[in-house]
Amino acid sequence: MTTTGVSAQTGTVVAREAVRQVRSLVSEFFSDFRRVSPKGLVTFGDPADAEGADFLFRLEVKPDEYEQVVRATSTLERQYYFKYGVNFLIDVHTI
Amino acid sequence: MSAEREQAVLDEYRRSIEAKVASVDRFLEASWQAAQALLSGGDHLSLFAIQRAYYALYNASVETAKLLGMPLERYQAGSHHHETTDSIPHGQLPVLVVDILKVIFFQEVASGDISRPEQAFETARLLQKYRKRADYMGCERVSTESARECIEWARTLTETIWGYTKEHYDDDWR
Repeated sequence: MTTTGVSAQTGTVVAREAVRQVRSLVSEFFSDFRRVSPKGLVTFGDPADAEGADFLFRLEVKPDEYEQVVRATSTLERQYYFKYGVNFLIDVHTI
Repeated sequence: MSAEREQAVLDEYRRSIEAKVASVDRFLEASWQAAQALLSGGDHLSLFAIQRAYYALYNASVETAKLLGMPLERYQAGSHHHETTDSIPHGQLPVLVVDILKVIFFQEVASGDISRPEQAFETARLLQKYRKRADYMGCERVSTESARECIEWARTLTETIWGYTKEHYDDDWR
């Protein structure tokens, strides 16, 4: 268990729900970026790469969107942590 | 234990702590210099400039937790590697930084103002994301202007944390 009480190894149901919620949040937050990933913006990352965060998500963006998305996802993660106590990480890559 | 022996042990302990503080000081100064040098190399080196600033914040925060007696276990997420190296996973740095800021700005937080811890979380997370790409051979580019801003935020936060620690870690000896 992590400090927030959510395990990175949590069962599939919780993971799916987290993915659904984060996809929804990110879609809402980045309405301008809906086109960036063929898989629907966010994919669920390997917990082993989460660096101790509760969940890891992977987001692929175009190079000219990288800085803006890194900053915006950091804002989103901060809001989520202080609102729900869940520490998730969106790892932003360029494609 | 005789009084003399007890004093000698205390002196030795004090010297070891002072040596640790001095080594962190040197590391931080070298980190800021390295970040500035990399910044001058152009946009393709900016990611690595931020990486140096991130590690300054990381090491200052972890050493702060140790010197202020904050147990690291709650940030180690069960990681055996981090337990044995007396460190924390990078994804927990924003959480640790928040907790340190809550100590430093206790009165603000107690009155309901958590703006500083919130800002600190976001800064630490932003730096962590860039650092992760730099560590894992990412080819992402960051503009020099944006990197400079991130490094300034990192330095302000690091100096807030480390400055507080240097003033308070040895209260018992004063």
